[in-house]
Amino acid sequence: MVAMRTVLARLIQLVLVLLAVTLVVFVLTQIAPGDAARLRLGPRASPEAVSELRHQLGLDRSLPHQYLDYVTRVLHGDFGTSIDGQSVSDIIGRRIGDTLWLLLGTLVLAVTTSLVLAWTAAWFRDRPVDHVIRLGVLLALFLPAFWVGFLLIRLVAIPTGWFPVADLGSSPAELLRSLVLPSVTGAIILTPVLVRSLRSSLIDVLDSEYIAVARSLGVGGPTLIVRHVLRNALGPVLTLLALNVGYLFFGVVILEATFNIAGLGSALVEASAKRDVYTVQGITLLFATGVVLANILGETAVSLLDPRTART
Amino acid sequence: MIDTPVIEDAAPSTTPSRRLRRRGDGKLAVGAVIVGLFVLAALFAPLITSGHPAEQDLLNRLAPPSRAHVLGTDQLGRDEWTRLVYAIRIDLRVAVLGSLIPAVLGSLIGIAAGLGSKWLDAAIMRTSDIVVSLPLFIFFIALVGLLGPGTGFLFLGPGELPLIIGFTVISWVVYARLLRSEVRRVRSMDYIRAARLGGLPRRRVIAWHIVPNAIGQSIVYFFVDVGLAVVAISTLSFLGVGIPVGTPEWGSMIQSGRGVIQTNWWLIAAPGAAIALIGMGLALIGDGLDDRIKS
Amino acid sequence: MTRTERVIEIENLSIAAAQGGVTLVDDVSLHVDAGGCLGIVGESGSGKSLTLRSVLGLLPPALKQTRGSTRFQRRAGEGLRSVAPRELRGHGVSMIFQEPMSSLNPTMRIGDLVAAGPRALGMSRRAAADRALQLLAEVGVPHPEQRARAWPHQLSGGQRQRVMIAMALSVEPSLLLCDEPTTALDTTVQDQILTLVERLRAERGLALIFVSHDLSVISRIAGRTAVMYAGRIVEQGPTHDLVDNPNHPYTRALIDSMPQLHGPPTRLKTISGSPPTAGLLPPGCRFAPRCPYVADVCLEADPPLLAIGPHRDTACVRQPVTNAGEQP
Repeated sequence: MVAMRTVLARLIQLVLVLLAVTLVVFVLTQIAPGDAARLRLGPRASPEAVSELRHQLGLDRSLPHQYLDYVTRVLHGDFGTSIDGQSVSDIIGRRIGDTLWLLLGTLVLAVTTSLVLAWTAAWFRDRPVDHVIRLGVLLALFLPAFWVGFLLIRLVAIPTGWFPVADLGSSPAELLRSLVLPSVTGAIILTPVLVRSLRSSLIDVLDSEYIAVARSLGVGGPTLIVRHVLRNALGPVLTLLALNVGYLFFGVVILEATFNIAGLGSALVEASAKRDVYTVQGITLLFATGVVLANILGETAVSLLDPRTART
Repeated sequence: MIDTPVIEDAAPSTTPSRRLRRRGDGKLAVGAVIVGLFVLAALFAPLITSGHPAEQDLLNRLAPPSRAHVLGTDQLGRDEWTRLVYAIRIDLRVAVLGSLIPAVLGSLIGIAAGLGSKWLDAAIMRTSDIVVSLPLFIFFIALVGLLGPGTGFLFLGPGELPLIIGFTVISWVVYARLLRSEVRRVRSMDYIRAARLGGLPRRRVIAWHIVPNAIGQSIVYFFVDVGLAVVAISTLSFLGVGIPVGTPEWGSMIQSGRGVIQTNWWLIAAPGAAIALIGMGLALIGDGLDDRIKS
Repeated sequence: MTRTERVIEIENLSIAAAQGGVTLVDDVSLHVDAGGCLGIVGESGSGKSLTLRSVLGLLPPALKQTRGSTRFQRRAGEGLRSVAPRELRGHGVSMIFQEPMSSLNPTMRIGDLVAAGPRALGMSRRAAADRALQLLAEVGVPHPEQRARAWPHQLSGGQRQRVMIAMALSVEPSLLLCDEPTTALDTTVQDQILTLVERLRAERGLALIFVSHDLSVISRIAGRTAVMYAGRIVEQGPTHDLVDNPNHPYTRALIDSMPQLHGPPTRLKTISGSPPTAGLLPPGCRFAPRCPYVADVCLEADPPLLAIGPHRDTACVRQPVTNAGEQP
């Protein structure tokens, strides 16, 4: 019952935040110079044709009216058409797969690496290993990801021929192979952000009295690590990940641009270079929704995972 | 049961802090040397380079490193080393302004939240929550892509003002939260009450007690932030929404070098190394200062 | 002199900060007889809890055991054997911790918590769950079946401490370490928990090391008592003898600061000054700056712990004077 109510409250919150996000996206695109109709038809179109298209697109109505139109269309799954006449929903549908694979690859690799590094640092805290990990992680924050990607392409992919340098593969084996270098690069973006706080949450758990109690009873090895330490560190890890989803999305945009992958990120970059307002609007809204959803999912998961707040 | 007791004298207890300080100093020195070299290179760019960064030598395109062109030339025959050095001016200028403005603004907002009414505090904190939870870099790509880089502003070149504004929107939160919690902490402490009872006006109390306490952490964060800004500037320029292509800027240089990655790899390696190196130098200064504050 | 069997002997235990080397526990030796109870009493910071935690190798990471050896009797009738602290975890020794609020893993149900020890020893899931129910009943948790499914935060402090005791018993120890198990509890609950510990001890023939800052608790439960001050044992002996007839001025001061339930009401005496900071010990006897009997000789060297009777040891050079009951 209580859990149901929490989820309901979160859903209402989701709707409100999404409304706010559409407003932000709408305003962002309103500030953009130039007229959408004029951009579409080109500079040589007749003024009649332009005003005809303006009317068709609803650009001749008042701003609040346009916003309402926009929200209504979005609710019906209609994100408009791109400059070259494709449906934005179709573009998104075609491109979202690769982006999700990149997100997954980066997350898996980054979380594993971060856990190993944070665990090692926490376990050997204030000893040389810890100092080396902490300094290394701090410095890794300043490696430009696209540069690392190019180095990997030049030093690994090209000489060995093991990994493709553009696009994701279609068969499972090829897909996995093509995900390796982007995921490594993605992990280099995300890991430095995670390790520091992960280390301190792990230290909190490791230093807790209940871990001393478990150890005093002879609990050790994998049981201690998984059931006692990681289970209690799961909440902070999820919170941390949810907080960094926006940064992760930015990372995926960089990955797609570096490795020539036709996902949502490169679509966004291409569309914004072409001043393709509706495509930019659609993809930005999608990313923003992803961030908001991830935050709400994270919060809900954390409160459901903690028996003190879940009360099932 | 009987043994001679070991009595510790007080001396060893001072060693760890001394050791800590020495470690912080090591980082500080390395960081200062790196950053110092970059700053000097930017200041004396004409003296250590062959000529103007935009000067083209079309007969000598994509030349390998030689005595005349230490890092070779790019597709338009421009000297890579010259462009690399002149890029420091742009990257560092934007990064410092893009970190300094949010630092000042954020600190002021934080102090206002800490001292102001509950309502103001709540409004500021909620706003900062929202800012943190939005994908601002994505918004930046969308906005600057649609708006274009602009033509420059005062002494700033094209693309620089949007970057600075973007960083301000993103970074003020850290300083605001830092200053707010510091103000709250100090405000609840006894000596502030004592100072107030002693008749010191409110503004003086803030100036004397709160600001110096918080400034250390802010400075640490500032150095790290400048480094992160350099990375962000080059990344956004690489994506085409930062400093326009053609300008000597590290990210754009990498973008234009990607076509010749197989043959002229140094055109990519050198600017990236410059980004990483100055970022790490700034981080070392920040971390060294942090060690110092904590010891 | 007949000697009963010993369960554990700890010799020359020293504990220091890993960095800087400040000594916190200095050359402590102690032993417990089978079925006996050793009380360790002292102010906070005297090193008594650290001594206890080091038996199972559970010192905080910033601290290190720099010296000391442990010998333990695995089974009744067997002799003492040298052991490393970790070998004792779940095998013969277990511990009741001070703070029932933080010593139960918040993400595990009560039944799983009590079953964790037996599971680690290789018992099947079902058998461990059954054992947990029996133990919960044994330590007086009402409705064990229902409680086994509860989370720690749903229990009161006293109930949590009972669960903690059930967990400690779950690995069938012969020696139970008690780190101020009643300090965090209300007075009435304190009494219940003490009674429970005494009962379990008698029923199971447990040996105990019981650490407390409260001499009245110690004198109720412990047959022998060691008094710790600033990282050292300054006096030890049979509890009633030690309380009736303290030899060390610090022990005397502790007794004087204890409220008397019987006899005419007297003003409580407090010990003036405060214990020295580790690493900044005074020259000579550690208690000298606070000692009413202090003499020049006390400032020359820290007095060793010497046998002054068949079962009594004291670390005080002024002992003949203090023993005579002479007032300073």
